[in-house]
Amino acid sequence: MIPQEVYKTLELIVGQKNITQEKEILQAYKNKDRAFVNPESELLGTTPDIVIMPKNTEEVQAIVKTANAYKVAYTPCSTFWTPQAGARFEGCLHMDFKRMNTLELDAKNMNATVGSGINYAQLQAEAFKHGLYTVVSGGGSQVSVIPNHLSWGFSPLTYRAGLAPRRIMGVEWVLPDGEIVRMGSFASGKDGFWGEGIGPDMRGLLRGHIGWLGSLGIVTRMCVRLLPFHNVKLKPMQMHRHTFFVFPTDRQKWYNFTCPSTDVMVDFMYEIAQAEIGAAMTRVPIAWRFISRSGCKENFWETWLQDPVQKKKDVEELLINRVMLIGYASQKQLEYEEKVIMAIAEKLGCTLRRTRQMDGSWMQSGDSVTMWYLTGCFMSATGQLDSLDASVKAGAEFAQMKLKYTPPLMEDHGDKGWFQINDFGHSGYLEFILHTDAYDKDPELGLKTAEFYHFENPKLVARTGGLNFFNQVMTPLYHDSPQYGPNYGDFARKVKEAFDPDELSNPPGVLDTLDKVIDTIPPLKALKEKYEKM
Amino acid sequence: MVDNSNLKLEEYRLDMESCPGCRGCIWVDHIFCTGIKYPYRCPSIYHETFDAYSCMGRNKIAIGILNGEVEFTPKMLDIIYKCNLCGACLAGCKRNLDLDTDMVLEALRIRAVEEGVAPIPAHKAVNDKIAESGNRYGADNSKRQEWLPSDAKVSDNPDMVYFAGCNSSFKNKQLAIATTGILDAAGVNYALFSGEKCCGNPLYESGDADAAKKQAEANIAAMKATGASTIVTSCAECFKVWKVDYPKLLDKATKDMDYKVVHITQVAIEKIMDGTIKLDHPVNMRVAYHDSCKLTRCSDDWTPWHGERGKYAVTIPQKTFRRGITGVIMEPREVLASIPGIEFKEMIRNGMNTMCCGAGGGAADAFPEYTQDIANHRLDEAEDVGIDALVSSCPYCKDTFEKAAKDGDRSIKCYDITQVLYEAITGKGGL
Repeated sequence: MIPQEVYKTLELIVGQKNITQEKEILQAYKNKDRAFVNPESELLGTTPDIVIMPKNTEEVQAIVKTANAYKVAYTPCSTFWTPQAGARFEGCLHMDFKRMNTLELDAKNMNATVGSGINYAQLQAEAFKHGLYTVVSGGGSQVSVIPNHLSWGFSPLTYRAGLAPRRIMGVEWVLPDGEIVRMGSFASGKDGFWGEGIGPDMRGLLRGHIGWLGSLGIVTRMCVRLLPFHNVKLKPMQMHRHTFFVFPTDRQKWYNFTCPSTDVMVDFMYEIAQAEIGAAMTRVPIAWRFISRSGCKENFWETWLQDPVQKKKDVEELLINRVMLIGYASQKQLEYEEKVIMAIAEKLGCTLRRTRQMDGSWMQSGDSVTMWYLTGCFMSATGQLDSLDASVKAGAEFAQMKLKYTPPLMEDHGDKGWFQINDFGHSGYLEFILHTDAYDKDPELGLKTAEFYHFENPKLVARTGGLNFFNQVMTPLYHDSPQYGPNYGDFARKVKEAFDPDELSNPPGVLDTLDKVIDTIPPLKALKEKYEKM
Repeated sequence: MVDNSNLKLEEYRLDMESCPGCRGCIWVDHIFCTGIKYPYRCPSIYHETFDAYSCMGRNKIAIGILNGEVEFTPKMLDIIYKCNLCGACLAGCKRNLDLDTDMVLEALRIRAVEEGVAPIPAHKAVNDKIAESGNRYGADNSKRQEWLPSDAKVSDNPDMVYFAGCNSSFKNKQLAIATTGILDAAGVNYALFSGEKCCGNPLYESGDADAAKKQAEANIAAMKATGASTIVTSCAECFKVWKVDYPKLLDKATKDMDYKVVHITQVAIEKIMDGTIKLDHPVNMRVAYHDSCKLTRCSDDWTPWHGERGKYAVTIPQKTFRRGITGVIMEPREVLASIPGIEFKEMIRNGMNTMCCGAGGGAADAFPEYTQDIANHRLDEAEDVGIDALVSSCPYCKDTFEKAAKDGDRSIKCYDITQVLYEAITGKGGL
């Protein structure tokens, strides 16, 4: 229980209206009973003692210094999308950054400085007004811009735009002890034009594995790079339950190509990249097509489970490379790029398919929430950030392993995952999305799922060199860290200890969450012992 | 005690537990987001800021109630009732998850009444007046139709019944007069019914489903006695209650009711298009249309569901999902667009992205300061658009905006669409 003295001190910082310990309000911040099937929320999720809503960096600093003075642990939360953003320990001071909703856009220099409460939909909408854009990640437009830039920010649009952390121009960072560090352009100037600053530049430290998710202090302000877009307004529309933009087809178009084999698709992606054309590119898992066409969950399952033999054949043979071309500068640019892509397609024997010239997923939405409704929960088994060839290879391995765990995992007819190309071909990406049945409470299935999540999958992730998205912040380090080098776990812990010796910033440490509780859960403990002996 | 499972909080446990916390319930649909200035669709979170005042937060509170972890304290009632039941969460959640968020909120209130802690005092006062007098103002209900112009062409054998509602019958009588004027111009065969009582919206929204059901039965019986099979309303709340809540309370589908419900703008646009209604009087004004939440997001047909969940919680038989997108959205715009002299502008948040005026869900009775804050926020948005008048299709929206504009010394005018249309037809709208 946080002492009243602390509450009174915090109240002086943010004002009476912006802090509460009323149990009815705290109940709404309970980090449990959320549709995340993972131990993070199920086992650790609890209710905070206090919720506080700072307005700016100075208030955050004062809160953090108070927390340090009284040794009170705190959890920062921008938009509450991940379980790690909620209370996971008793006596938690929960910081809700909703009020930190500032956005300053510098159109001339193509950047925007945002506060922690700004989400992608807001940033994108503001950017569009100036003929600019940002990349809304697959996490969705409901997620906060700052933490997402501190992880990876994948989207088919990263094909051209590159990964989100590389678009950080300046950072204002309240360290776990309350000191403020300004990096990048913020270190030397007031705007975010340059992106570099007087050293040391610690932006890489902030990202680390997949971002620290609040356990290494709080980034309260960030300048992010915006990219040039065409200046034609995207028209929002609604049809049935779906909302989407209609593309101005003289400036922006989707092209879906059927490829004769996965190898050809990979060659196709590389050649497009080498030609330096295109705005976005991705392989389309067949299930995505059914999701986008289904009117509801019932409709999806009715069609998805029909004719499994044909579905398996489709998954094997219907290899679709989806490419977005944009005439950023002119209609002629689009016409030119279309000629180039058609020439490459013809050379490789890829066939253009019909597709709707609209987008409800990537430009200003991001579909992680839509993916939720099929089974009540999904998690991504892995994120492979390596070459495109490695992504494809890993996808085949994951598909093979998944067969052994289907059920409890959702039937997907052997699909080999979502892979795409980044940075004009310099890297590839695989995300292997898996759905589990959030509604089936059979303990045996639960145990089988846990075995897959926490033991089999991490091993495969480690072997194929990916990021363990299931357990991104709670995987036992003995699974995850070896792949990053023999000392990675030690190094990460030392960083945490150096910056946050009292473990006040979103404890338990970002790297050790499950390690700290696994022995208290008999079935998981038994599994752990089994796998340690193997 | 309510015996209709569709009104029980337990029925929606799965919906509450399936909420991952994406906050789709509070934002304007992401595709329609226009930036940082007006990002919210949910008025409650705009005003109160803490997550408890969002559907996401209320879901967790409802789980806590079902699990016996929390009780109905005064603060809890503040959280539950400082919500406009405006369907913002319904439209937001249905974009992605198909959870019945609106029913969680309604069932929470019904549960509060069952537990004896609600209706809250401000709502009880209104409900008592309805019980005693038949209208929400406690006025003499025998004078309900005193506004009716002597020259109104009321039929003895109507096809359609105009249900004026409490507000237009006792407070904004000019709206009822305008509506009958429009019906006269449309040449439809209509009547009023003498037994009209409050539609029961305050009863239902306070959580008193039993009283609301009795009100529904009484009004339906009175309507049937006229021999007509169509109800026309000029009030968005009455419209929603007849179309959605009466079938819900009677555990029937909207399509299976013995009557059809239409809004006056739906009647009007048809008769404007076929030339029956002549718009001879220009209305020289820049206007924006405020979509009343009850008319827009809350008026999808109701279909009860009694079934079971299969693998992945699929509904068996398949549930008919309400998504807040089939309400009356285009007709009012078409009416305004057809009036000579009108320069029409869209609000930044419009259609299914509208934000409630702040009065809905009984908030105006219980939390006037809250309502005033939301109304001012909406008027700020209207002024940003650059208009002379904000037009709505609900007398409660009009009242709310009018008060906020007056208190804030704003020059913006606030009208009901019936007033504007009546002006265009007769030149006697008194604008």
